[in-house]
Amino acid sequence: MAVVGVAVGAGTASSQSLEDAAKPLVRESCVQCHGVRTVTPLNLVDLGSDLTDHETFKTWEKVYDRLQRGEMPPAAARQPEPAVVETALAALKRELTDANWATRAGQRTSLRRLTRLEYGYTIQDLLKVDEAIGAELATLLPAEADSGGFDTVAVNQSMSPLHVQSYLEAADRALDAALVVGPPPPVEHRRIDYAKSPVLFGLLDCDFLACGAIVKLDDAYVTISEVSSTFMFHSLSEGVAIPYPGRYRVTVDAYPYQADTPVTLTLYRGSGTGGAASLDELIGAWDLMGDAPRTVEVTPFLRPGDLVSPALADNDFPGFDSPDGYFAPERHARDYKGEGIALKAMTIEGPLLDTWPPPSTRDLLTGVGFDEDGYVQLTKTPREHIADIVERFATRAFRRPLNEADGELEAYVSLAEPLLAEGRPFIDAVRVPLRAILSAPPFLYQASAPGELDDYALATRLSYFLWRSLPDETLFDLASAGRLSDASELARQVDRMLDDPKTQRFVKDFAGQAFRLYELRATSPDPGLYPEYDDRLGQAMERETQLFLAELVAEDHGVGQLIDSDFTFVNRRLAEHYGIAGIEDMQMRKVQLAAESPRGGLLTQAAIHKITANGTTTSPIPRGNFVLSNLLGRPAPPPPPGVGTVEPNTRGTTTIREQLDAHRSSPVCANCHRTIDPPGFALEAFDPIGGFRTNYRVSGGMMTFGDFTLPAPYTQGAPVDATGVTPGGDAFSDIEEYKALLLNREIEQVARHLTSQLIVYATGAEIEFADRDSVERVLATLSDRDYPIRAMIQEVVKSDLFRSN
Amino acid sequence: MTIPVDRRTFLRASGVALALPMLESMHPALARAAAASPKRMLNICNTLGLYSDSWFPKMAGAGYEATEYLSLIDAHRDNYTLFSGYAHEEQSGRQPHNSEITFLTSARRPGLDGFRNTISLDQVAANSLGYVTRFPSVTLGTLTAQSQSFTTSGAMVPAETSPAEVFRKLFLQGTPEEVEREAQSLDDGGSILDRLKTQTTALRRRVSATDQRTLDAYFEAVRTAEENLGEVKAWQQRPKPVVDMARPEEIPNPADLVARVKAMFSLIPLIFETDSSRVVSLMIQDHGVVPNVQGVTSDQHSLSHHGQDDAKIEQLKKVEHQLVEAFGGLLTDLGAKSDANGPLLDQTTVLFGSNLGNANAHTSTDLPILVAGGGFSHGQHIVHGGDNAPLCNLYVTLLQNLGVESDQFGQSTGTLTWG
Repeated sequence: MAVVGVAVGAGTASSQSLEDAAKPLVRESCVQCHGVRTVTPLNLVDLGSDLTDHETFKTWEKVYDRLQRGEMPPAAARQPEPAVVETALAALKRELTDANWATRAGQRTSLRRLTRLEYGYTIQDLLKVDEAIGAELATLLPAEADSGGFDTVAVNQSMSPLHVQSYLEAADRALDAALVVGPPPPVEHRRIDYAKSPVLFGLLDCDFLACGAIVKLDDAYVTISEVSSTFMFHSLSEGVAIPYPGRYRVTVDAYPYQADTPVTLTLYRGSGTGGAASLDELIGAWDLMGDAPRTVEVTPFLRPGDLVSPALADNDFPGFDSPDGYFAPERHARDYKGEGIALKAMTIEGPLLDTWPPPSTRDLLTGVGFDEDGYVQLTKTPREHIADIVERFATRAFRRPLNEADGELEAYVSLAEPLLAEGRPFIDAVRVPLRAILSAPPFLYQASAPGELDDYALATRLSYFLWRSLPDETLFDLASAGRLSDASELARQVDRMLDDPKTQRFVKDFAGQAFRLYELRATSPDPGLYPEYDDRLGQAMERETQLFLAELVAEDHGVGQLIDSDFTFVNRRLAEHYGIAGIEDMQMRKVQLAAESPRGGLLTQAAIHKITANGTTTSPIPRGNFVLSNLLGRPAPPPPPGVGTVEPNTRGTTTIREQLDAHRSSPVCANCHRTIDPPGFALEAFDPIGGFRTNYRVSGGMMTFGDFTLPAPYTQGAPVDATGVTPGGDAFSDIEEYKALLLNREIEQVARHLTSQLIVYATGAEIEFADRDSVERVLATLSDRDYPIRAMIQEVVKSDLFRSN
Repeated sequence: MTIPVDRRTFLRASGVALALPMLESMHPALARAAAASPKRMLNICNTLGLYSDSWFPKMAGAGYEATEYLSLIDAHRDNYTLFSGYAHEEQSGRQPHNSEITFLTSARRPGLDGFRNTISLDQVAANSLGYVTRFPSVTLGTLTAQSQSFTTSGAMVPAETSPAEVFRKLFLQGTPEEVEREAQSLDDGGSILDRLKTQTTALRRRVSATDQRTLDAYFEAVRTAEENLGEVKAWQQRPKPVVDMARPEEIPNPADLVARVKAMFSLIPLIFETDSSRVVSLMIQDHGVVPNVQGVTSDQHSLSHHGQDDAKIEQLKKVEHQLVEAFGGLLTDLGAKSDANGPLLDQTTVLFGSNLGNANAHTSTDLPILVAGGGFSHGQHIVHGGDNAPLCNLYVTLLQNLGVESDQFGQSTGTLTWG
């Protein structure tokens, strides 16, 4: 009977049921079109029954899906009896489920490794060191692979000698930062009075761009150009060095100069050689208005070699050809009539120490005393101390009690013995076991046996899901008491965790991966076409999407808000970009959107537009793919090999739609592009940096002023056509109408995808055929309430997929 | 005949001052290395492409007319070969620039559907050579730790981006305290890894068959890391070479793209001359800012998406002009510097090219590829009809030239020979 080769194990049973229940239907209703030499590439005549074969499984899964959705056989063809279909579907479902479980040997997730990000947060929380240290150590580890899925998914993770070497090194450095004994570093308070700066005085009339780059006032110097901050005003050029790594309190006194509109005072952390600074990280931005002086304060983590530099942004600048302008050879900065910032003083105080030795050292060296110089004082033998320290540390690091049968404690403690025997210092000896623990499998991997998770594994899974780090004391204590697995306790803990600021780590990482926010800075917008883009705007875009998603979680908003909302988050800069009036200063805040605003929902946020463009042009294809893959979870298949790509064109001669029309008229391309392109068409209303547009911009080429070449102003190009027709035949004329269609037709699918993504992310395994019913059960509990997202997280944690392995 | 010493015996030996003869006996590879004439490999990738019209000559063969870019390095014409029509298949990835992670690996469909990268050309070479030099390979970048070097299991080897740090690692001895601390850290690391192996074995008994496979991969990684640590330790005991060059300054501004590239280019001949490594890869990255090249107002990535705008193409060429010219300078240096076996260039196979054929449209076919030095016969433009002949065939040839016993790499279907 069987037409294929002999299958073994689970495959044998499957073969029989498939032969009996499903194959007759396929022979009767499918092979006329899906045969050997038929037009469609899918050939079901030769389809085998061995479901342990990956390709065979995938094909049967496809048959199941098409049948179940009623998509096949097509409406025009003769339809099989409903009872026949039902029997076939039931048999297929059973066989596919069994085969799926057999393939994964009864276990959904294999040992999942801490991601680089989780490693950093875990080090931060476990060793009680600064967030900046955890983040820095994470960068010592090999980058997570770009696998196309979440980096938390076990099968996407690799292990290599490079990893092991990096773990050893990162642990060494983590312990350097955490274990500090001896006298405390002196806390210094340094003040820079710019008005008295000999450096600035020396630069006052220097030949920079034109003549002079700064303006001297009685109590300050005025900065008028962003460029100047790379070699003036920064802490290093004023002779203030950072001697010790740590948090520092930095304040700046400044007031606006000749400013009719807000000017932005920015503060950067950077590094430098000689006089020039590299402004690496924006650590603060504040608007200065009117004549009001302002003192601003931040507490960045600084390291030896770092500098801090104030700079200005957003100053209105008279044009090059304006008599009030400045960058012309005969002009001097003091004649400049544009806006600037008067900088009075900067203070740098630190390192800021609460206690000494720091909390990390006191916590780690449990039971050890310290003398007044900060050196350790032992109260028992070094080995006894080390045993105490290691037991407490390893229990927390492994997120479970140590295994006595394997002699786990002794295995690590004894690593210190050779050093003690050699008479090396206690601190050196205790480091070795700790370093080993930070490279050991129970630390690096989240272990859970097949079946229901025990309380410790549950605490670990939950904690890494919502906090990206190890369980805190409360979770760990509940796990030891065996109470975490209690349903109401679990729900209470989820609520507690979601109210904790550490949930921001989850929001950021999930947004980074699920909505690709990590790619926000992958391209820099073309300065000629999009001169309004800068760091501050980029940062505001990123924060908007993060704050928006955090709000959906915190306030338990329905998944529909993801598609359309009447609020978003902006600061003055982003508000201007969006055309929202009346927003002052650079703090992000929640705003209500006017009814006529094109904003509202994820798809109208500038970050998403920027991620799906290349910095210069937009194309409906990547944007359509974003909607299909990241919002709806129905990615289009990749283009067949060898098809051409669209050659971007900014000369204004053809629009992207005209270029795309060509491939839409080709039947090979049209089949997928009728699904991909429409959402991308709706999003054409947004330019590469998320500005709302009615016309394309056309490059103005270059212009020169003396030695300088600058982009010439862009010109207005062809009008944007944001209309389209969905594959279902619904026409829309703009993004508003497209969002309305999504809300009406796709809300359940958006909820299904988000639920699936949360489960994949949290459990470290993809949703496969056997897991589908569990996803549907979660959805069913939410469907009468517009799929609220906080409740969705609760239901995900409750689900059997989360609670078992 | 000397008997190789067991590494374990070596690690148990106390103290830091071990006599060199013992090290030599432990590392027969070292003696081999000194005897044979070393072969070397250098891979350089311009990740934002090279503007095709200014790169590819129209004619095939030896008498081709140098194009705009090639005229910048035409003095070296007899020392390199150009290739047209070569690429890897299926390089459309999740992100349009994903082909930069597969330039040296040829893995298909980067970033899609549980993608896992495969070992890169340079790492095959490095694995084959091992610790005959202080560093089996050196991986360099110009901006971030992203690189094109991948291990067997698909982990990315981080790139070193600071010329000063490269110089320190290769040529600066460190204070006696630093050296001792490093030695201690290596010793501790050795005993830690040994203990982790036994702990993993204990753990293995308690987990499912699936989890055992994960632990086996971990165990194997630890075992190899332990071996490497022994090699590193042996090298740590040998003084670093002294070079006639001051430690380079950091170049903090990412706008100084060309200066950063040149700084790395100035270190490469030193790495080879001192035999610190025989495998070097450099990825010239997207710096994301307007480079300070005269007359350029957009960042290189924006320029690469020139959209057929002539003004942008002009600027793009200004940037690429400088990069190609700097590469010419590197060829000059490699030709001028010699070790006991002759000019470095003759012993070094240099691959210079890009993962993008047409950056404006992100296509990864018909890649610009140049091979210099390495003792090959040069001077020609090798043209393959079409745009997608297996570049990996060239990679196999390069590996064989390096002495790697392999007739296959990535998507190869054979070797690529010319002459």
